[in-house]
Amino acid sequence: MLLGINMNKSGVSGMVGYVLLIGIVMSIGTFLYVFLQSYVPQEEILCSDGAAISILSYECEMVGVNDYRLSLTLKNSGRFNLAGYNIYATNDTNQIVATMDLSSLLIANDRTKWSQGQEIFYYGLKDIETSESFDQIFENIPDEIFSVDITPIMEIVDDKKKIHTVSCGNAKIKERLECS
Amino acid sequence: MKRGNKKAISPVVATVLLIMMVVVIAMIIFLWFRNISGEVITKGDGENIKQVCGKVAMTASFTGGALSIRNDGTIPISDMKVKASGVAGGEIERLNNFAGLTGGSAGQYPYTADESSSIVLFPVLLGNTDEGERNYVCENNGYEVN
Repeated sequence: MLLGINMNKSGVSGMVGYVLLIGIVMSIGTFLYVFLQSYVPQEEILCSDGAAISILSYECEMVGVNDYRLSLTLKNSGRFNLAGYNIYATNDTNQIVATMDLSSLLIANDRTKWSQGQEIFYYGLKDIETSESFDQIFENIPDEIFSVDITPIMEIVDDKKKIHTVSCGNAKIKERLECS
Repeated sequence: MKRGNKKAISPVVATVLLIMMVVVIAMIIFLWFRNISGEVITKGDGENIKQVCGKVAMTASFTGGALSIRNDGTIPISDMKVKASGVAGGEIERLNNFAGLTGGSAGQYPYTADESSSIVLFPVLLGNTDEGERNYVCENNGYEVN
């Protein structure tokens, strides 16, 4: 007996000690899991490397004062079907980033639809199939244009069967144009 | 007179008490730590928005009194903050007329600064919290304009 404390007796039995230890470890584990769960990096949904779009030919003409018309023949030159594309033009020779949205000036056909006014989508029985070429006409362009940036758009299905519409920034093309 | 040969509480009650105390202390520490670390904003499938900020990709240029910005990635940018040396004391301010950029889209926004100014853009992302949607400024992921 030392200072009234019985040194011969354990505080808790060995079994209770294990239970406590496991309980404490589980509490700390749960706390760390909850706290760090959001820091686990998730896989970014990106376009497949084989996505590509190309311009086969173009014709840009001045129809009137502040009125230009652009005809493009585009081709899905990649290995995957495309859902659509973004198209932006530069109206200044010094402009680095093309910001003039041409999508709203497209002469639409029965397979065309728009999303948020900045993306042109194709729908129907098929997307834009591999090797498919198609004509696009943009009218009433208010300024002379010097180049176009076209970014293909793909639909990607994730592991949970959820469809994501993804812009393929790595497959963006830039084409210099001359309007006559 | 103190009786030393009797236990105050039985071992079972002591164990239950001990476990309850550990759980309560753990909860207090958890709540305290959560307050210190700030509110967690997530995006997508629960990913911390600070990590998502690192996935934002954009191209920007400043010419003729206008900022041209293109979102090259897949993360939608809901708003944009801008900081330029010599403008408004170099403080971060909201880019006027910016209405959001989805992946692949671009826009041009008027902005006043010297051509020689160092301009840095900070994308703002819309995330989720327990209390609803909330904007988060990616202050650690500034994009220097060419």
